[in-house]
Amino acid sequence: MQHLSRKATGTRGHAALWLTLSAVLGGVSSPVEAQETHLYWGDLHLHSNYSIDAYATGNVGVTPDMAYRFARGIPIANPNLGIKAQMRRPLDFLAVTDHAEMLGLEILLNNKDPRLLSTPWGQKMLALRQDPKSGGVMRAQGGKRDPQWHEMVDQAFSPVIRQATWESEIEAAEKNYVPGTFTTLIGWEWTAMPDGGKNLHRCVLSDADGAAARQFAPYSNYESIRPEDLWSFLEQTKKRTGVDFLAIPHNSNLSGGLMFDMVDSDGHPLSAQYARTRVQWEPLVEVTQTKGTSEVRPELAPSDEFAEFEIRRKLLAGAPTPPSEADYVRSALLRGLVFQNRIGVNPYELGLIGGTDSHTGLSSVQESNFMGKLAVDELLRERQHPTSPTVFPAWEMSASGRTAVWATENTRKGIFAALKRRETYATTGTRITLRVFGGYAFQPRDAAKKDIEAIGYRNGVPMGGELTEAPKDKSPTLLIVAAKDPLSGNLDRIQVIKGWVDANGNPQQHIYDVAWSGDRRPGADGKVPAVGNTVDVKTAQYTNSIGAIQLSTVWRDPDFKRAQPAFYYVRVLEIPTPRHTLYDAVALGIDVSETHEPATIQERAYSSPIWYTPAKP
Amino acid sequence: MSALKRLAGDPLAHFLIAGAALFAFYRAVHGPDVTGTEDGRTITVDRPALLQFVQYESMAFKPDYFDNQISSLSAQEKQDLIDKYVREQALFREASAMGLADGDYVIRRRLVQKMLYLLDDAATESFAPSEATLLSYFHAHEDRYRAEPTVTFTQVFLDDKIRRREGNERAAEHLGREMELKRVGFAEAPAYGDRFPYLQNYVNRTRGFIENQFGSGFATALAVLQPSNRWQGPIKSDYGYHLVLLTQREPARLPDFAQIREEVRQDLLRDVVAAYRETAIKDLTRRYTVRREVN
Repeated sequence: MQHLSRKATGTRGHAALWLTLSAVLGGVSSPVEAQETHLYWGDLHLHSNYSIDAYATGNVGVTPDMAYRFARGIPIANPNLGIKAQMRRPLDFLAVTDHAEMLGLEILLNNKDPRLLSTPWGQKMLALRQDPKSGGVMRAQGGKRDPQWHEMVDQAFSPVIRQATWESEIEAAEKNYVPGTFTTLIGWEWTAMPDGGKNLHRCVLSDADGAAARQFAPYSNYESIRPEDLWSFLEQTKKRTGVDFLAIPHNSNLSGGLMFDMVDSDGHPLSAQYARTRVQWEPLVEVTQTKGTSEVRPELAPSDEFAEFEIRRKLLAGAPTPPSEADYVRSALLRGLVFQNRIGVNPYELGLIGGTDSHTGLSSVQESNFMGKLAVDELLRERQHPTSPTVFPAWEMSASGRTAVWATENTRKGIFAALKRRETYATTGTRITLRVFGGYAFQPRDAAKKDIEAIGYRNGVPMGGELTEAPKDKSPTLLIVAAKDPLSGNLDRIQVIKGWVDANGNPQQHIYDVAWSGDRRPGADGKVPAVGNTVDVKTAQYTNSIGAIQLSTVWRDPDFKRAQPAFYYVRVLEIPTPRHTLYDAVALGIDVSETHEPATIQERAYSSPIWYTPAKP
Repeated sequence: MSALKRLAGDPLAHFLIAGAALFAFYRAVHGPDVTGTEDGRTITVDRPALLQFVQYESMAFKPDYFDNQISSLSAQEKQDLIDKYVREQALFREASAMGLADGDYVIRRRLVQKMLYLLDDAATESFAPSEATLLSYFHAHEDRYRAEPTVTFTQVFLDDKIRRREGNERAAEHLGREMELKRVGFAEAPAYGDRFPYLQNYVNRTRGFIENQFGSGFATALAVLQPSNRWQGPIKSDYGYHLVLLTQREPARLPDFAQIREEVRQDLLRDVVAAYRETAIKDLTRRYTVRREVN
C-alpha cells in the first residue's frame, strides 16, 4: 500500500512539473500504438471422425490431425471422395471439438484396441458395426434409463479408454500448433439434450497445452446434462490444474426455449449467483453455423426486414419449434439487461462468434464450394436424393460460419485472451473486415481517417467492451469501419442494433441503418431501400456493380437516455450473392425452386456488442 | 376442527382430491382412452390427436402455434404426420396387448414420477403464503439473498513486458501524477498506457470476476480503495502496473424484499413442496404392511 499513500499526498497542478514529467516519460503516456491488434480467422466448432455421429454419417476417415492440416492449408486426401482437398484460404486458428460422448470409439474398434475389445460391450459394438444397416455403434449409446447403459459406459467408456482417445485429440492439437502462424485450441463438445432432443450443447475450449490437457478428460453428458454441473466441473478443474476454460453455447435456435431461459435447470428464477457463474464461463455465443442462424427469428422482430435469414424452425430430431425469446441471441441480450436491472447481474452478456459444426472434418463455408455439414452431403446426388432419410437435408444447411478475433498475437494465449474479452465477431462465412469502437469523443471526421484503429483504441473501447460514466451532455458514439471480403460480394449496408430497457423496465430494440452504398435515401420509415440483385439464376454468377467496397461512419446514438442500460451491436450486410443451393441447381440443371431453398443470400457479419451501464446517480 | 379443515391440512387427502380432479380433467380434455374402443383395430386420427402428437414431438406446448402449423402443412406433409402418428398408435396398442408394460421398470419409474408430480401439484396449488410468512422466510435466509459487493473502475495499464528506463513502477507513479495534473477523466483513460489483455472498463464487477482477469493480488489491493474522482495506484497485477480511477463501490447488501419477492416465494415453495412430499409419502407407505424377507 506504499504507492497508495504516496499517491494520496501527491503533487497537483503545476505546469512546469507536467512538462518535465512528459519529457521523462517519453512514450509511456502517448496513445496506444505499439501493440496493434490483428485480425485472425478461425473455426471454434468442428467434428472429425472421432465424433460418433460424424462417423455414422460417412466421415470414417478425416482424423483430428487431418482436420487441423486441412485448416492450415495443407492438402489432404479426402477419403470419402478419393480426391485431394485443399483449402483456398487457410484458417489462422481451429478447435476440433468432437463430442465427448463415446469419443473415438469407432477408431478404437478400427484399431482392434485390446482395452475396448477385451470387454463384452466392446465385442458387442464390433458386431453392431459389422451390420451397417444397424445404425452402427452409435446405437449402443441408448439412454440413461436403459439398464444396460451403465454397463456399456463402465466397459466401453471407462476412464482408461476416455483418456486414450482424449490423448489422440491432444496430440493432433499439439502437432499442428505453430505459434504465430496457426493456433490450435484444445477442446470438445458437451452434448446435453434434455427433453428428448432440445439442444443445450456447448463447445468447451481451454487455454491448455498438451501437458496441462492430460490432467483432465472431457466432461460429457454422461456425467450431467445440467449446465450448472458443467460449470462446476470447469471451476474445479481450473482450481486443480490452472487451466482456464470457456463454454460456448451453440444452436440456441434448437433449444426449445431452454438456452436463455428465465429459470435455471431446476425451474427456479435465475439468482445473482447463477448469473455470475454463467457469465464467467460463457462470455460468448455461437450465433451462426450450418444448422442456421441464432441471431433473431422474424416472429420476434417483425420490423427487421433482414431477419428471415437461414432460419431453422425445427429441433434436432426434426420436430417443429415455436418462436421463443429464450432461443435467440438478440432476445437473450435484452433479457440480460432486464436481469441486470432486477438482480444486479447480467447472465447473458454475450460476445458473438461463428462456427461450422461441420462433421466432415473439413471446415467449409464457401457457398460456391460448400462441402456440407455431413460427409454424405459431399456427393451431389445425395443432396438431391438422399439414400437414407436425414434430419439435416443438405440444402437446408447453411454454408456458415467463421469466428474473427482481434488479437495481439496468433498464439493460444493471444487468441484465448481475445475470446475472453469478447473482441470477436461472427460471419456467415465471408471475410468482411469489421472494426467497432464505442466511446464519447469520436468526431464525424474520424470515419475518414487512415488510422481508425489508433483513434478507436485511444478514445474508446473495442467490441465486447463496456461503457459507463457518460460525460455530461454526451451520448455513446460508435466508430465503425467495414471492408468487403475480396473474394465475395460488395457491402450493402452497416446497421447498428440497439437494445435497451425503457423507463418502465421493458426491453426495446431498434435497428439503425448507419452507412450504405450508393445514393439511396432512407424511406419514411427510416429504412434504406434494398440494394438490388445482380445474381443470374441461370449461371450462378453475380457482379459487384452494386454495393460498396468499404463503408465507415461515426454514429452517435440519437435516442440515448443516461439512466437506461443498453447494448449496441453492428450487423454488416453484403449484396445478394448465390446461395450454395443455386450453384447445385445450376450444376444439376434443375430449377432452384426444386431445392426448396433461396437462390441468393446476403452474407453478413455480426459484431460483439458494446454495453452501456448507467452510473449510479 | 371441522372435517373440511382437517382435510385441508392433510397432505394425503389433498393429494387424492387433486389426483381425482386431474383425472377428471384429462378425461374431459382427451376423451376416454381410445385403446380399448371401437374394435381395437381402428385408429381414429382427428385434429386433437394430431395436435397432441406434434406437441409431444416438439416438447413444446403451444396449441395455437401448432394448430397453425398443422393448417399450413402441405397434403404430403400432413400425410407424413398422420403416418407417424398411426405408427406410434399401432405399435403402442400391440405392445399394450402383449402386456409389455407389465413389469417394465422404466414404466414403473415413470408412474412413480407421475405420482410425485401429482403430489407436488397438490402442494403447489394450496401454496398461498402470507406476506408475513414470505418476509420471515426472507430474513431467515438472508445469506442466500445478499448481493456481493461490486466495484466500477477504469484503468491505465503499464505492461511488464515493456521495460522503462526509470523502472516500471516509477514510470507508473509518474504517469499517475501526470494524469492527475491533466485531470484525465473516465472516458479519456483509453488514451494512456499499454493495452491490457482484457477489458478497459469494469462496471459493477464482483471480486471474483476481477480476480479471474487480474489475479488475486490485484483484487486484494483494489478491495481497499475508496471511490474517488482521482487516479489511485499503481497497483501490481499478474501483468504489470495499473492506475485506477475507481468511481463506484456497492457494498454487500440485502436487496429490497419487494425486488426479489418472487425468488423468495419460489424458494419457500420448494421447501414446502419437499416437506409435503415427504409427509405424503410417509402417510402412503404407512398404509402398507411391509413383510421383510431380507436381513
